[in-house]
Amino acid sequence: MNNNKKPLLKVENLHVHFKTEDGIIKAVNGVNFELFSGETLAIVGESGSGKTVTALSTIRLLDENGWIDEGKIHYKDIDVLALSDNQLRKIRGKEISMIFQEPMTALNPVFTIGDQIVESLELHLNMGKQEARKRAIELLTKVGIPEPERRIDQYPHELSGGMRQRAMIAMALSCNPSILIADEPTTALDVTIQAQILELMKELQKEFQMSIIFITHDLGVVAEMADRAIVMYGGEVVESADIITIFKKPRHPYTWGLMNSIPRIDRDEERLLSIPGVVPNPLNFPKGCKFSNRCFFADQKCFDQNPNLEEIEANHFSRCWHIDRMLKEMHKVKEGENNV
Amino acid sequence: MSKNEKIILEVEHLKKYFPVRAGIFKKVVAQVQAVDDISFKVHEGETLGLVGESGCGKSTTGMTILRLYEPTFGRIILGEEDTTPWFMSNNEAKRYINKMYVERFDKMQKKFGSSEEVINHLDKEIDRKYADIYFKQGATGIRQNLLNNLTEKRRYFRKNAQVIFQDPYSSLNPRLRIIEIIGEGMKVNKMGSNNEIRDRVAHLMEIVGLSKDYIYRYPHQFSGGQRQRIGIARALAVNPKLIISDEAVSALDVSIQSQIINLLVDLKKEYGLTFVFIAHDLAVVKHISDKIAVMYLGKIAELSTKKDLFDNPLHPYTVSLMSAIPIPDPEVKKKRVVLEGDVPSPLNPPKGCRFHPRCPIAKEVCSKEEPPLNEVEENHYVSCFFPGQFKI
Repeated sequence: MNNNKKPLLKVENLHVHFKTEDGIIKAVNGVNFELFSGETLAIVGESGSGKTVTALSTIRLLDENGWIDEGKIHYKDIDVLALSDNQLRKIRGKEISMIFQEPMTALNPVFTIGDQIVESLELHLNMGKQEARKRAIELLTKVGIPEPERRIDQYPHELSGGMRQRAMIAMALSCNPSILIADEPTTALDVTIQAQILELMKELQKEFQMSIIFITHDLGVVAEMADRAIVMYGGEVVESADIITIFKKPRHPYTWGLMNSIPRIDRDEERLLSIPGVVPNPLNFPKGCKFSNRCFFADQKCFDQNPNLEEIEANHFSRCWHIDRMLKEMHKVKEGENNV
Repeated sequence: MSKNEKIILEVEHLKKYFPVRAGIFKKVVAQVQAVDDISFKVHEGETLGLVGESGCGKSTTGMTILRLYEPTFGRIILGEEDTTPWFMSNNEAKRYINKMYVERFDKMQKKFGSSEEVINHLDKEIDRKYADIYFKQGATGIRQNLLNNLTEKRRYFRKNAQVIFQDPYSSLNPRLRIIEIIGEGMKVNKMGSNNEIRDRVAHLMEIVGLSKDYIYRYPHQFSGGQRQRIGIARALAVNPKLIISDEAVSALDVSIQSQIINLLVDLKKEYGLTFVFIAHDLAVVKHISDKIAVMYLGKIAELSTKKDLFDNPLHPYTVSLMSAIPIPDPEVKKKRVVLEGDVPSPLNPPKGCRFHPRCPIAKEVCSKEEPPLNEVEENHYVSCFFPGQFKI
């Protein structure tokens, strides 16, 4: 959709590996994506799909045993992989910031939330103490924390889960970043609190004019928040498109299967589709197409050769040998899917 | 919705308070009212969904029914028996029986005269049963009936009230093989010879979708979804009357979750199982349940058949909860009520209606009086002074 515009963030052929006792895990294999200014891109996948690692790699926030084996990452005109640690620190938290699933582990328990926001303001924006504190109170007000003058001196454990998430958002937004990476920010929250946080993120996105990378497994949240989505499976992108296309015309068996396997409150389905088998272990991905051993439409070709991610229509990419077969047989699968 | 009028589980005025202790003498300084006076029935072959946000008491309810927590107050009837005194100390049990039956029946007898009249005036089959015993055999008789052979009674209860837990990693003993995990209950209940038990374990494994070749494996050799299948097989093994499932699919990946949901739905149909299905995800509860109780801060806010609840939600909390769930369809633009604030602490619940500080239509009365759970329409119970008035 943004073909003429220059992307804010461009990731090309990203490979991320981890060294573990059991061997080398190839968590991400050849991921490409672009993020444009002002948009929300959802990265969707189940555990082990590589969605979090992909996003963390963009600011090189990997555990010690992990490394980017191959690939290019450009933020604006900056080659992120060529930056020194010092240069990188100027981008992290200032240009690209993050919020996490569990605010209790992301916030430092021995500092007040005020200290933690003030720290990043002093560090990145060279503000004085007084000014930074004033700005922190402003930010807490913005994220909807009541009585910010009192809350600013409280410790993370004194806040509820929803309030902590708000505090973390305030911290992430403190330096007016251009990209916010949100890693399952509402997964640990109750639905009524989730609704509050999602609304807040939408408002703040407009106000701060930022792009969001939203990592989640919840397709409901994707539909509500994202402009575009990439679906990951087994460390690869299997499908990507704008949000309407991906929900209305999924063209990868995994995307289609996932969408039909969730119970929905707006529908009365007799039976859910269930994708057979288990989420693959990254130590031992199947040869050929990673999804082949769970796919309804796979044949020998799928077991032998991994298909490329092809542009099947403008800005709609899918990695599958048998899209035609899927379209022909998907209704049969849905009806006949009984004893898997 | 119940195909069968036979009640499997009935919970009356169940309360579970957790004391908060402080100081050197560990004095009780406050009570966390985790579950505060809830009542419901589950019929044979029916699934009751208990849904609500964290801290609403849904899991505590399940664990209290199972007597993994001791109830603070209330009566728990399984099948045709009052199981409440079975897990009490001797003195407590006697006190309970006196209050629940002896004193009540005496009072009624004074009012109505004859014992036949008392029995006629009792609504519940279970009360008539114990009244009959009381009037024929006296207080000693009813005590004997409820407290004799406690070991056997407790075993009967454990056999007939099974549970499936959320975390398939911590709920299976890592030192036992699958055959021991699934077969243990059968062994304790002497449900067959070793060979018969082994055959039934193999059969159960196939029913829940595991290869029977895995019968001698250990839990760590299975994935999360497979372990949850083992947990289900273990619950089924002893032919229980009731299965309580506490967030049984919440920890699973989406694609695995649908496998387990489908399995539970199939088993329910095939074997006519009776479930109490506890979960925070309303969409999952909707898919699997016949009746749904929406809980908020230790109370039932609304209880009805699934269809009525979704067609015509009457409690403002139910309406808000439904509107808060994101729908996986980008073209559906939902009207949404965003509730303000957090769920208050059950340590210090708001006076009056517990939902009133967050309720979009709260009036003065809501902060003063507590609304009772009224049957507003047939089989549709709501605890709200203004049922159905909040729509979006």
